[in-house]
Parts: sequence; C-alpha cells; structure tokens
Amino acid sequence: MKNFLKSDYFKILLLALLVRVLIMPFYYHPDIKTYYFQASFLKEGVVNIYSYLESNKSKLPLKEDFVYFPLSYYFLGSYEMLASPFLGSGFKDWLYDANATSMEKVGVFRYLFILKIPYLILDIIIAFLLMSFFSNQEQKKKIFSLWLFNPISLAIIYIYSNLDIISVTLTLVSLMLLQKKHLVLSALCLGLGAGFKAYPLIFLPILILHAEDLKEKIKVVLVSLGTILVIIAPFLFSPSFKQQTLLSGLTTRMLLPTINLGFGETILIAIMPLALLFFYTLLRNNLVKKEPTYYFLIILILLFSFIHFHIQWILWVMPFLLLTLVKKSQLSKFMWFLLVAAFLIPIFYNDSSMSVSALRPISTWFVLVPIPYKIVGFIYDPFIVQSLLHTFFASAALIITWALLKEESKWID
Amino acid sequence: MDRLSLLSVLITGLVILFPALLSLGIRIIPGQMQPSLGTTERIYSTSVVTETFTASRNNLNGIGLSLKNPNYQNKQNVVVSLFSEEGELLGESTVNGVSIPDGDFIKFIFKPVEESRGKNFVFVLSSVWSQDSDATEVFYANEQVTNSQKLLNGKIPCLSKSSDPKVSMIDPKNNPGCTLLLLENSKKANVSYVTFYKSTNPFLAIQEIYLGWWDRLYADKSFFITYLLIVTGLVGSLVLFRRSKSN
Repeated sequence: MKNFLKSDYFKILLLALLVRVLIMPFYYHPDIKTYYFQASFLKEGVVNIYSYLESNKSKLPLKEDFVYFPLSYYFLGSYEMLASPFLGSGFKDWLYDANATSMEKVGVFRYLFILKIPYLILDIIIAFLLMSFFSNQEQKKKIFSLWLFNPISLAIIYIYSNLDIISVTLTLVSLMLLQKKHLVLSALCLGLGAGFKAYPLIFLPILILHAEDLKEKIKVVLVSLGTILVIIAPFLFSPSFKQQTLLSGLTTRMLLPTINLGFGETILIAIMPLALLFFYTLLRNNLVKKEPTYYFLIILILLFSFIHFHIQWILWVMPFLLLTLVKKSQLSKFMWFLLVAAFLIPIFYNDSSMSVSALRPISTWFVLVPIPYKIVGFIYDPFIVQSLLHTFFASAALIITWALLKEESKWID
Repeated sequence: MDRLSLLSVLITGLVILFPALLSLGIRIIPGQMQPSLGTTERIYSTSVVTETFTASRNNLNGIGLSLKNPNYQNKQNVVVSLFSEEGELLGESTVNGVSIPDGDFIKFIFKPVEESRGKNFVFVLSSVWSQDSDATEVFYANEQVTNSQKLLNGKIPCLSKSSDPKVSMIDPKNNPGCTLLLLENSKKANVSYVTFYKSTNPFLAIQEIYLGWWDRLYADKSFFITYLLIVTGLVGSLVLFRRSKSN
C-alpha cells in the first residue's frame, strides 16, 4: 500500500479521479433517472419490477420498461437505499418529476454525483483488473492510463451513465479467471454478469471451447446457465419480464438483419460471422486457449458490425480492445479508428440526449443547440453518414479479426 | 508537465469550456421551460387555439409548440400569428405539415419584436386549409388551469371570408363578417408552449449560462462544500505527491 501511494499509479489514479469528479455532477443522460426511478420501488417492497411497471404504467410519470435483468434492479435499488440519507429529501420529487424543468431543480448536481458513485467504483476496479493481465510494468502502466484517460469510456460511463459497467466488470473478471484456468468460476462470473444484462452469455462458446473434456464442457454450461436461470427463475413465467427483457435489445437486434432465402427462410447476417468464428476455432483446435482476450474482442466487434447498436454497448468492447491494443500495438490505428467510428455512429442519431442535451444540468438552453443529426442533415443525408461510419467500422473489425486470427494460426502452425 | 497531466488539464478544460463553446450555437433563448404535455386539440379550418402571455425579454421572435401529426397525415400550412395587445398583427410563421413529425416540438420563428419585454401578446395557432380528418393536434399543458386572461381587450380570433382567409383579432361586438374561431376548450386550457427571444450577444448568453450554473451549484450548500472539499483534496494530494517526488 505504501509503495502504491508513492508510485506513479497513485498519481494517475488521483488525476483520473479529479477528471471524473469534475464531469460527474454536470452531465446527464435520461437513462440514469429512469433506472433509478424504477429501482426506487425496491424500497417500497416491490420484488417483481417487471409486473409492477406493467400494471402501474398509467399512474407512473416515467413509463419506460425495465429492460435489464433482475440483479440490476436489486443492485440499483439497494444502492439507492444506502445513499438516500445523502441524496436528501427532494430526491424523490426529482425522480418523479418527468418535466423538463426537473433539470433546473436545486440538488440535481448532488443527485447526479451520488448516483454515479457505483459507476466510479466499478470504473476504478476495471482499471486495476486490466493491470492484472500484465506482468510487464510498462504494459501495466499503459493499460491503466489507457483505461482511465480515454475520452470514450469517460463519456460512456459518466455522461451516458449506463449500468452496463456492472456486466462489463464481471465479464472482465470472467476472462481473468479463464486465463488463470479457473473455468468454473469464470462461468459463474459470466452467469452473474448475465444476471444484470444478458449479453455476457455470448462469450459462453469461448469457455466451452476452452474446456478440456466433455465433462468440463458440461460443467461450464451448467454453471453459467444455471446461475442465470436461478436469477431469473422467479420471473420466468411473468409475461411482463419476457416482454421487457427477453424480447428487447440485443436479442431482437441480432435477428433483424437478414438475407431472404424465400419460403420464409432467412440467413441471419449478425449470427453468421459468429458461427463462422465458432467453426473456425473448432477446426483450429486450441487456438482459443492461447489468447481468449482476442476472442472476447472479436465476438463483439463482429456482432456490432452487423447490428444497430447503442452507444453504451461500446463499453462492452472497451476492456478487451484496450487489452488487445497493448498486446498488439501494430493494430492500434485500426482499433482507435474502430472505437471512434463506433462512438460517432450513435452521436449522429436523431436523439438530442446523445449530444447537446447531455449538458441540460448546466443549462436547459442547450436543448436548442442543433444536434449533429440536424447539422449534417443541412448538407447531406445523416443516415448515409451513419451507414458510411458503420461500413468503415465493420471493415476495420474484419481486418482486426483477420489479423488476430492469422497471427494466432501462425503460432499454432 | 507530463502527458497524463496535460491530458487531465485538457479534459478538465474541455468540461469547463465546452458549455461556452456550445453556447455559441444558441441563436434563440427560451423564455421558460415547456410545461409537460397533457391532452391535445385539433387544429383545422374553424378550430384554432390562442394563448396570451407577457414577454420576459426583448426581441421576442418565436413560439415553440408540441404538435401531433401521425404519419405526416397533415400536409397543409400550420400558422402561428402573433398579435399585440391591441390586436395588431406583429408576425406570422408558417410550417407545412409535411415537415412536422408526430409529437415533435416545432419552433415558429418570426421577425423579432424589439421592445417586447413586459408587454402582453396573443398568439393564434391556425391551419385554415386543414380538415378535421387530417388535422394536426397541439398539446395542452398537463396541468390545466382556468385562464381568464385568454382574451386581450375583449378581442377574439376570427377568419376573414376571402379566397385567402387570414386569422385576425376582432371585437365580437363589432364583427365585420368574420368566422369566429375561439374554442370553448381554449378558454379552459393552457397551451404547452415556449416563447423564444433572439440572442443578440452570444457572450451575454454565455455569461447567463455560467452564472446560472454557479447559482444552482452554490444553492445546494452542503453539496457545494463537500464537492469543493473533494476537488481541493484531490488537487492538494496531487501537489503533495509532486513535492514528495521532487524531494
């Protein structure tokens, strides 16, 4: 500890904390209010938030669904209860106030700062976890700084303030355990991560391929799927749970892009590269064991190449991309390009909360500033700009995939 | 200064200066926040809504309203006419239904009224060529309050009977052959609207934004003190760290 306080890491951490503290109270995305509003019902004894929202929607000021899995609700609800003495008496009124004027209330800066503290803690934990992937001091320092000072993760965590960071942390722990050959614990972490948001289950094939024999493969599947099943079991027969979580977000988007084969059959474009990767890895046995990090990265960038994604989802990729970037610096240009393109695509959506409206706590006047979608629209079709960015993103993703797999194949040969 | 410190200064500067940069894009200043949306009223040939207000600034140059137009069903002109207290037409702004997405907040911008501060105005929202079947709908405010000040000097909106019908404000006792347009609802409900004022000096807007930011931060005293302590603590630790390193 004493050594840490004297090290450069401590200075980096202090600088990182300062930057975060300066951003936290002043930038806002409506998601943070919506999710904490929904989580506030835990204090009132609501256990099944999905059916509660369904049956009380007409009475509630914020009518959005709770699209996350149950652990997110319990996590946010518990934190809100813990933090309530610091949030103050006006907090509940603010949560229930759906008017635009709520952003002008005294106390907004306090609320945003306190509500983002769990994200800050997880953000710092991720920085330390990333360091633990390296033994070389220079690489340790590089990954620590890259995570803490890249503007993209700063914006996603503290401006768009999405709670995907919990699943991101657990997925990273899962990868760490996988590399240390703790396969069952790794599967457990994936299952726990999926208890917040389902996406970590997409990495399950990596764990299966990693397992030595059939017995271990079955164990991995049972542990990860068993964990998530235990978490969602009480809600499985609730139609509102299915409607709000299973039929929204990633699950449905993965099925959207298709090539029509006629007679009701289609090729699922987003699934195909993932299946190709799976079969390729099966063919080149043991490939996945050398560098599972690359596979965590490849799966996500291939998937995002062919679906319409949320800006918050970029956070899923960030740790794996930075780990790969430190290991394979020759690919850094492509990776930065990929990240910037991924970040810019949602900025060009026709949604002011992705850009100018994030400054609403500072002044509500900012909602009047033209959004990038409108500015681009004066010159050109913003959807074509988005499509161009997505095409370049997909191309960079394919090049990175090819380069990483080629390099790994060389190692195997 | 090493790279990380420089980056931190850059990010911090950006956080503090970004609002100023963005403020340069503010051409019009809202007079108030838009009240939350409630029920709607259909706007067509014989159905208009009116609202009376007092301007809070000079250079009044627009009215913003939330309009319903499912599947762009309305393709006629929707007009906001601004009248003085005396019923004089001061400005008119037209937006065609084809550019009104359903539920969008639409700004009707007209020539600024320079000395508008403290004066009373009436705006009338009309769409004289629309039919009931393809009408756009304007949102009333969620909280409906009785407003006895709806009409100024007893004047109400009417539609002139001509090939190019226009909305004007007339005294019903002295009706020169106009179709009266005032709805019963419009006496009871408040339209959910925002007034806009042309920003003549971007630096004044920046100043107002920063002063408002500071005021609201300072107003929450206990948070302000805690926040200041955290920031000072972090900066102080960095200075101490630097000193101990140089020793």
